Amino acid sequence: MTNPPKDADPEGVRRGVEEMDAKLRAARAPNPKPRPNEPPSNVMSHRQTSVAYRILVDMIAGLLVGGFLGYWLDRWLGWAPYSLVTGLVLGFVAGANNAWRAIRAYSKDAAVTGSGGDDGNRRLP
Amino acid sequence: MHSPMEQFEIKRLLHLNLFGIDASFTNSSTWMIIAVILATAVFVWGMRQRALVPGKLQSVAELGYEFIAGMVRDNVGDGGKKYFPFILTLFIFILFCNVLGMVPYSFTPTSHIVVTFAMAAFVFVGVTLIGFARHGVHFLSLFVPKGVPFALLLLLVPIEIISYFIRPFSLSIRLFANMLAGHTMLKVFGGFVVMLGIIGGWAPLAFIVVFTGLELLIAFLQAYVFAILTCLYLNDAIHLH
Repeated sequence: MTNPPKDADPEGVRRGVEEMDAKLRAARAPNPKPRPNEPPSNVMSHRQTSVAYRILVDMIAGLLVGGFLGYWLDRWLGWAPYSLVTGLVLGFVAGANNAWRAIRAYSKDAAVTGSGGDDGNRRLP
Repeated sequence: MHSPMEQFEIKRLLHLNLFGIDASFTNSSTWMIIAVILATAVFVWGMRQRALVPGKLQSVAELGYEFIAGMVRDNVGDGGKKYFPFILTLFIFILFCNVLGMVPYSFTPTSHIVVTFAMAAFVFVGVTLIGFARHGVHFLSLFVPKGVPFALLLLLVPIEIISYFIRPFSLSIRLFANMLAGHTMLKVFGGFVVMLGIIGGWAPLAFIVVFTGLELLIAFLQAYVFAILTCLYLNDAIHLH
């Protein structure tokens, strides 16, 4: 037999698997924490950026929806300009409410992970 | 020179009139179909070998699957398993539309609010129906914050209801505005390159290169945000905080 099957040498195979395991563990190990004396990075993490975008759009959408609702009520019932004003105020508050919820969820997450920044790949933004 | 908004123009490729409704086949429809075909190809063709050690394309398919499976598990929990296929489809479709939009001369369906709003409205109606199906009238307790005196409820319940109805709008505006702004910006700076010519055009060109990278990130990020917000809304409907 010139070309023995691979599992003819179980000892070698096991050693190979163990080496592979060690390599995988090394590759999967979390990135080392930044050294404490290193100044904090002033580049916002993706996650923070995306939360900021979310909040921005939440508040704008609130104003738009409230304003549109009020405008439509004005046209329909002839209450101009009271329902537009009420709609804008309610829309703003509702948008801020949504934004507040997003912030609260984010800060709860940040408190759990400790850093408030990136926490691994899976939940990147 | 072309206007930066020209790239968003809808062109009818195949005129079609269904019962008085203009249902023409447009460039937008074409790119949506291309996105669906490519996405299907990646998953079906990538998984054809079902290898234990995945090849390149199979890795991509598995990565996408596991990414969304993890997202649904983390954000919705056990009750969310049923809805995983929908969220995976949504994510992959938006991702492919966004990324295909980065190909020169292509069209980005997600840069049109009618497309993003249709998806957001579907999610909104679906989530609301799921909530009512699971909890019946009790689902309405979502609008009543806990531990608040009755007098304040008169003010807070309308605000909670409006907050709820804002969701499909913020969901659709977010995706549409990001894609629209990014592509317009690229085109505007492309115009600068031509205007400044061979001498001064290098600076905006360098910016375009960097910005294209950022746009690719945003293409992924916005698909991710759409999917994760769908998960969060679904979680609200299933578990009623």
